[in-house]
Amino acid sequence: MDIAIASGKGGTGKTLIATNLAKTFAERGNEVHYLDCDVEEPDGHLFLKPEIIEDEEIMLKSPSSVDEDKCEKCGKCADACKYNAIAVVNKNVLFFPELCHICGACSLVCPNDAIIESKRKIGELKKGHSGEVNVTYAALETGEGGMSPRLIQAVRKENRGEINMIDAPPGTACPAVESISGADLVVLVADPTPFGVNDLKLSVDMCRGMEMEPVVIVNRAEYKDENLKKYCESEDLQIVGEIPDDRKVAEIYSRGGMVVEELKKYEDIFIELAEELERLSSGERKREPLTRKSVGSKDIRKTEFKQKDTSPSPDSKRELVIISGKGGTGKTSLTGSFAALAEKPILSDCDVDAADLHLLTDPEVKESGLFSGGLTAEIDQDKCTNCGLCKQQCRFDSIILEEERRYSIDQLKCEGCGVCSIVCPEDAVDLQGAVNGEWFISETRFGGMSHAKLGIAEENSGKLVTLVRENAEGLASDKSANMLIDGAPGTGCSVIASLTDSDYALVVTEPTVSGIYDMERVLDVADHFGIRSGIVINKADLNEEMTEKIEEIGEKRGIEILGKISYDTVFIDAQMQALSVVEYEDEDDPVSLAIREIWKKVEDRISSTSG
Amino acid sequence: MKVAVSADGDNEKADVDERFGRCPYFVIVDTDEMDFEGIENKDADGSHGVAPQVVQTLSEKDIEAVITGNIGPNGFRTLEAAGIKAYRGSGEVSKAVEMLKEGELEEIKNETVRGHHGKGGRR
Repeated sequence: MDIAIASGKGGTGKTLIATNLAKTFAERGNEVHYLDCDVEEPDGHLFLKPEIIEDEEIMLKSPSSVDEDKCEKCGKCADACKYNAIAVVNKNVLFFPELCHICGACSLVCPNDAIIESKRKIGELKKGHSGEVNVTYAALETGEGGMSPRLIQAVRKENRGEINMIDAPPGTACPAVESISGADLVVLVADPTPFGVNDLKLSVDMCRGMEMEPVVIVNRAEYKDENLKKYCESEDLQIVGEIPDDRKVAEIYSRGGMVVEELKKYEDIFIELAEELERLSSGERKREPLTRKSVGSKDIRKTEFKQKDTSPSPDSKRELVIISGKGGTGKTSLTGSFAALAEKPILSDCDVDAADLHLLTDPEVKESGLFSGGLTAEIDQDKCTNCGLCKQQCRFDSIILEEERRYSIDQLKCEGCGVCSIVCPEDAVDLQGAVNGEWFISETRFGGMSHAKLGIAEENSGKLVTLVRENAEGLASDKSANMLIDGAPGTGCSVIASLTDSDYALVVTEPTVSGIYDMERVLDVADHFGIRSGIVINKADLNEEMTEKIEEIGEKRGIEILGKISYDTVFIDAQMQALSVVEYEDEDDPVSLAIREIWKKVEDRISSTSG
Repeated sequence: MKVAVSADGDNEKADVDERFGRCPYFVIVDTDEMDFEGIENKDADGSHGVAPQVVQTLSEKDIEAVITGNIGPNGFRTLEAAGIKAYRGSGEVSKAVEMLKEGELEEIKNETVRGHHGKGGRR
C-alpha cells in the first residue's frame, strides 16, 4: 500500500508527517518502507537517522561523443535532437550534456551507429533502517535538475513494504507527479494560511488531473483564516487530521527529533491518523475519483499559443534571486517586503508551480499568453497498426497499451523527444507544440510583475521560469531597475533557471536540521553556477544552537549572514491582509526593522557585484 | 570576409544586439563588397540551448566572423568548432563592421557571460 504525502507549498510539514507516520505504523507492527522522493532536498533521513547499509550511485547512459571512424558528420543526430543538445558544425559533432534528456533519438537516427554513450551520475541512492522502518532516499547530483524524475523512479522501486510512506517533493510539476502517480492514497498537507490555501488548490487540481482523489491533513491548525476549511468543504475534500500549531513541535523538529517519540500527545495524534489513513487506503473512500477535468490534450490542440517576443532589453544589471532550498522558510514574504522597499522594483515569481507572490502584490494583469515549452506526441489511431515499436523505444515509459491493443501516449510522462515518431513505420505519430502553462505581465502597486502558472501536472517548469525572467527583463525600462526574483524551492531545474545569470542569490533558511541541510545543497548549486550568495536566517530564535550552526557554515563557506529574523506570526497576519510585512507592520517593529536592515545590505551587495 | 552581426534590426543602421543566441536579427555583410543583408534569427525564441543552433545556421552560410556582445560557453564552444571568430562590438552595425575592418574590435577569446548552463531546464 503506497501512501504519498504531498503539498503544493513547501514547508507545510510533509516530512514531519511522513516520518512520524512511518514510525507510528512501524510501532503498530506494520512493515514500513519510508521512501523520500524529494530527491532535490531529501530531509527525512535527518529525522529517521537510518543506519545506511547500501549506497548506490545512480548512473544513466548519455550520449557523449561520436566514433570518429564511423561518423560521416551528416548532422542527422542534431536534427533529431529536440533539446538542442547536439550541434554539428564544420565537421565537428558537439554534445551539450546538460541539455540532454537521454531520449536515444540521436542513436536511433544515426545511419552508422556512431554515437557513443557514456555513464553519467545523476544521484546517489541510500538504503538503510531506522529501527523497524526501512528507509530509502536519494540525493540529486548538483546541477542535474532535470533528472529528478528518473531518480525518483529509482527510489519508488523500493516500495516493498506492507506500507510505503512516500515523501513527495513540493509543487505540482513533474517531480511531484512522478512521486505520487499510482499511489493508493495521496495525503495533502496544508497550513491554514492564504499561501497554504492557494497551494492546496493547485495540489488538488494536480491530483484530480491524475484521476486521484486526495485527502487533507492540516498542519499548524490554528485557524486564523477560515478559508482552508471553506475550500475543503466546497470541494468535498476530507480533512483526515489536524496537527496543532505548537512551538514545541517546531522546536523538536528543528533539532531533528521525532515528535511521536518525545511527546505523548503527538503519539496519540499520529496513531489516530495512521488508523484513519489505513482505513481510507483500504478502500473506504467517500468518493470516487473525479475524471480529469482541465487539461485534456484535445483542448490544448485547439488553443492557439503565442510566446512573448522579448524585445531587445536594456542590460538590467541588478538581479536578485531569493531562494531557500527548503520550502516555507519565508522567501515569498521577504520578496514582498523587498518589493515595498526597493526603488523601481520589477518582480518575477519564478515559483511557477506554486506561485504565491501575487497574493501579496495583487497584480493587475496587462498581458497574458500561453506557454509552449516543448512538443507533445499524439498517435493517429487510423494509421497505427499496433506494432508496438514506439512503446519499445520510448525511454520515458509514456506509451500506454490500452485495451484492444491500442497504443496511446501518457501526456504526463511524455517529454516530447519524438523518438516514437522516428521509429513509427506508419508515420502515425503527430508531434506538435504543447501548451504547458500561461504567462502574465502585470502592474502592481510596487511596479511591474512577471509571473506564470504552470499547467497542472505539466513539465518544462525550467523553461517557463526562463520565460518569466525574460518577460521581466522586457519590463525593465532602465538600468537602475531592481529585479527581484522569487525562486522556487528545491535544487531542480526551475531553481537553476531562476539562478542563472542573476547577480546575487539570497538564501532564506531556518534553524532546523532540514533548513540547514537544504540551504547547503542550494548553496552548492549557486556555487556551481558561480553566483554570489548571502544568507538570511528566519525564525532565528526557534533554535539558537542551529542558528549558531548556520553562522558557522556561513563563515566556513565564506558566505555572509545578512540578518536574522525572529519567529513571528506577523508573517501570516500580513499575508491575511494581502500585504507585505513591512507594509503591515510599523517601521520600528522588530521584524520590519530586521527586514529593512537586510534590504539595505542586499542593495549594497548587489550593486557591488554588478558592473 | 563574410561577417554576421547580431542586431536589433534587419539592416546596417540597426544597433549591435549584445545577445548572441537570442538577438532578433543577424546582419550579414561581405566586408569586401560592403553589401548588407538582414536575416531573421529563427532560433531566438527557442527555449534552450539556442546559441549552438545559431552557429550551425551561420556556419552553413559560410560566415567567418561574428560581431556581438556576449557569448555563453556553449555558443563559444560551437563557434570555435565551426572555426568562426567572434568580436565584441556595439553601436551601429555598419560602424562596427568598419571598426572590424580597421582591426579595432577586440576578439572574444573566452565566453563573456556565465553559463546559461541548464537555464532552459530539461523537464
